[in-house]
Amino acid sequence: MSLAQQEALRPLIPAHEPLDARERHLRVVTAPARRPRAVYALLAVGVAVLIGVIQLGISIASTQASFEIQQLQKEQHALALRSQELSDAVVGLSSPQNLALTAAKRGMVVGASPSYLRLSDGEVIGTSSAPKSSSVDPRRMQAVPNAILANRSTSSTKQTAKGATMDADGSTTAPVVQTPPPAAEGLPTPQTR
Amino acid sequence: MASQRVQTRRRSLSVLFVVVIVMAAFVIRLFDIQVVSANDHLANASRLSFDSRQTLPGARGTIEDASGVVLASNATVYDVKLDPLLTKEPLKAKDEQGNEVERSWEEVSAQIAAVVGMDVEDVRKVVADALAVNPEGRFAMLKKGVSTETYRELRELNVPYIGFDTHQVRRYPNGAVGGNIVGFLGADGTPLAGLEMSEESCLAPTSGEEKWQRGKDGVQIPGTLVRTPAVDGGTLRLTIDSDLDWYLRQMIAEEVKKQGARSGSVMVAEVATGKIRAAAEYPSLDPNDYASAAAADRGSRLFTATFEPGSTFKPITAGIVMQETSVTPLSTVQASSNERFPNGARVGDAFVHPSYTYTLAGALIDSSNVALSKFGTKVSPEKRYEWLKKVGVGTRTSVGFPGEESGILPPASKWDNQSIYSTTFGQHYTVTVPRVVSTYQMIANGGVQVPLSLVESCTSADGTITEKPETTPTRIFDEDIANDLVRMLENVAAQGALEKAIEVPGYRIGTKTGTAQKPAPGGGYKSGAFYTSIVGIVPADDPKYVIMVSLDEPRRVTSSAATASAFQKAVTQVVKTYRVMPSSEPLSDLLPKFGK
Repeated sequence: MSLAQQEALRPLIPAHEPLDARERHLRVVTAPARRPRAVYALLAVGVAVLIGVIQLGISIASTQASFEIQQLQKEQHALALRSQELSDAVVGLSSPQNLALTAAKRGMVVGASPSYLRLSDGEVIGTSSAPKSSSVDPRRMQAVPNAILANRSTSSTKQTAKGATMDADGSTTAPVVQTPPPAAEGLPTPQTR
Repeated sequence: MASQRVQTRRRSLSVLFVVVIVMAAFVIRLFDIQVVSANDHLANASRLSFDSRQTLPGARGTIEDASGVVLASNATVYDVKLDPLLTKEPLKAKDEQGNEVERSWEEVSAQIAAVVGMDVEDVRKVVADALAVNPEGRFAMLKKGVSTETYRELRELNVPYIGFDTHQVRRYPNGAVGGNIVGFLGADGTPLAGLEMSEESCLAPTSGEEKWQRGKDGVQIPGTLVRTPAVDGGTLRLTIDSDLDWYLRQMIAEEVKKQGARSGSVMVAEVATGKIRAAAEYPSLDPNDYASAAAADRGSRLFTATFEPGSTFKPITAGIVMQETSVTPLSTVQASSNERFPNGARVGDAFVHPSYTYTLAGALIDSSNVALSKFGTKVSPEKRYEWLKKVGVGTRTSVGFPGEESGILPPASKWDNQSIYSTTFGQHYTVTVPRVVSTYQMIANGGVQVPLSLVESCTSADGTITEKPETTPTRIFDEDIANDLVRMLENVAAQGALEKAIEVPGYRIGTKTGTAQKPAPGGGYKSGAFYTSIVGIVPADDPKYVIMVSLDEPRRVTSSAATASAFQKAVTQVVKTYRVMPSSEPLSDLLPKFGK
C-alpha cells in the first residue's frame, strides 16, 4: 500500500476528533406562553366596531347639525322677511316732505331769519321778531313728490289695523303707551307695611 | 442554445415596448386631463357633482346725503304667478279637527284677491284667460311687485299653485329730494340717469355663487357647500343736505307758480370747499315714479340747460379789467343810457338815464351795459377771451354730471362789432348754473377757484373709503381784486333796486342779478321772455355760501325782481341750516356810484 493509497483511504473525518464532539447541541424548545388567538380577533373586531361607531356618531351629529342649520336658516329667512316688512311699514315716514306736512298740519311754520344769544354778554344777535307766516306752505302745494308716501296713504287702512291709529286728517299717531309716572322726588321706592 | 436566448430577449423587449407604449398613452392622457383641459374637467366635475346652485346677488350700494340720510336704497318685491292647471282640482286640506276638507278654486281665489288687493273676478279672469289660451297651461302672471307683507300672507294661504319671483328694486325714501341729481334705474335695473349712472362703478355689486349637493329630502349634504360670497356695492355719500334741498325745492316750486315761470332752480355751494349743498329745481323728479315724469324733466336742468348769463357776468368783466389795467372800483367812465359806438354797434341800458359819470362800482350797481362796454373794451377781446376761458366759460364743471353741458364760448376772432361789446355784459356766450356758481365761488374765495363737487366719498363693502380725488384749487383773480369784487357786490345788494326785497335782517350779502334774453327759434331774441337769475354771496363780510336762484321765463314780473323773494328765502334758510352767525359789523361806507 502506497502512501498515496493510504492517504486516500483515510477517513474524511479527522481521526483525532472524537465522534461525540462533532454532535450539535440540539435541544427541544418549549413553546412560549401564547395568548389565545381569540383575544386578537376580538380586539381587532372591537377596534373596527369602535371606529364604525365613532364615524356613525360623527355622521349623525353632522347630519343633525345640518338639519339645525336648515332650521336656523328658515328662522333667519323669516326674520329677514319680518324686518323687510317692518322697514316697508316705516319707509318714507322720515322724509322731509312727510315731516314738513305733518308739522304744518300741527300749525308749525318755517321761521324767518335766526337770532342768536351770545353767552359772553347776553346780547341777542340778529332780529328777534317771530315770523308772521311760513315762508313755504306744504299744505297748499306738495311740490316735492314722493310716490312712497302716496302709496302709503292708499294702503293706510291696512296699516291702521296693526296698532297705529289714524287721525281725522290722515296722519298716524302711535298707540298709547303705558309709561310709569315720572318720579317726583328721588328714586321711587316700594311701600312696605 | 444561443438562438433560444436571443429569442427570449426579443420577446421581453417587445413586452417592454408594449408596456412603455401603454404607459406613455396613460401619461399623455393624464397630462391632458390634469393640465391641458383641466379647466373643462373641473367645470364638468362641479357641474355634475353639485346638483344645486344659486347665484348670490349682491346688493346695490345706497346713496346718502352729507349727513347720512338715505336717498336711495333697495327693497325686495315679488311677482305673484299662478299655475292654472292645478286650479282645476280642488285642494285637499285638513281643518283644525283634522278632518279632510276640500278648498275649491272659488274659495281660494277669493282669499288670494283679498290679500293682493285685486277684484276677485280679475283673479279668476287671469286664470280663465290662461286656460283659454292653453288648457294645460302652467303659468299665469297674477300681479307684479307686491310687498313682503303680501308675499308672506300669500304663503300663509298654503296654496301649491302660487309661485313667486323675487327681485330687488330701487327705492328712494325721500322721493324727489335730490331726485334730479340722484337719478334712477330702469325696470331691469340698468342705471339710466343721474349719479346712479355716473357713479355706477361705486354702486354696482358683484354677484357671488353657492353650490352644494342635496339629499333626497332637499337637505344639503354636509361638507358639500362651496360658497363665493357676493360683494355689495359701495355707499355713495353726496355733498348735498336733504333737508335744505327739500326746503329749496318746495320754495322754488311755489315761486315758479307765483311768477308763472316755466321752471326754476336754486343751487347752493360752500365757498371754502366748492361742495354743492343743494341742487333744487322745479319740476322735481321723483325717482320712485320717473315713468310719469315728462322726458324733459327726467334729467337735471341745472346741469343741462345753458343760457347767456347776462348781468351776472358783469363782475367778471370788472375783475378782468382790474387785473389787466389800473382800473379800480372808483375809476369812472361817461355813459348815457343808449350809445352808438364808433364801429357801429349800439348798446342800451335797461332804463333811460342822462349821461352819468359812472364809477365801476356804480356801473355794477345800476347794471349799466353802456358803462360796462366802455370799461370792458379797455382790455382787448383776445385777452378777455383768455380770461373767460380761464374762469371756465365754455367748459363743463368738474362735477361731470351725466348730460352736463359745457356752454359755448366763441373765440375772439369770431366776435363781431356788436359782440365785442355784448361780451362785456354776459352775452354772446353761454353757461350753466353750476358754471356761474363756480365763478362766484372763486370771487368769494379770494380769487381761488375750488372745483365744484357733488360726491363726497364712496365707502366700499369692506369699509374702504375712497374720497373723491382731491381737486386742485386754481388761483384766477388776485386776492385784493376778488375782495374788491365782493365789496362791489355788497354795494350792489345795498344800493341796488332790490335792496329791500332781498334783505335778510342781520346779514350782509353780496348779489348780482341777471336778466338774460332768450334766443328765439328763428334767430334773434325772444321778446318779453327772460331767463332771470340772482346770484349771491353770504355773508359778504366772511363769505361762506354762494347761492344762485333762477327762473325761466317768469310772466308776472319779467325782470330779475321775480327771483328776489326766492333768493331772500333761500339765503334765510341757508344761514339757518348751517348756523351762519349774523354779521358782527354793519357795512361800512358805501362806494359812490358816480365820480366827478
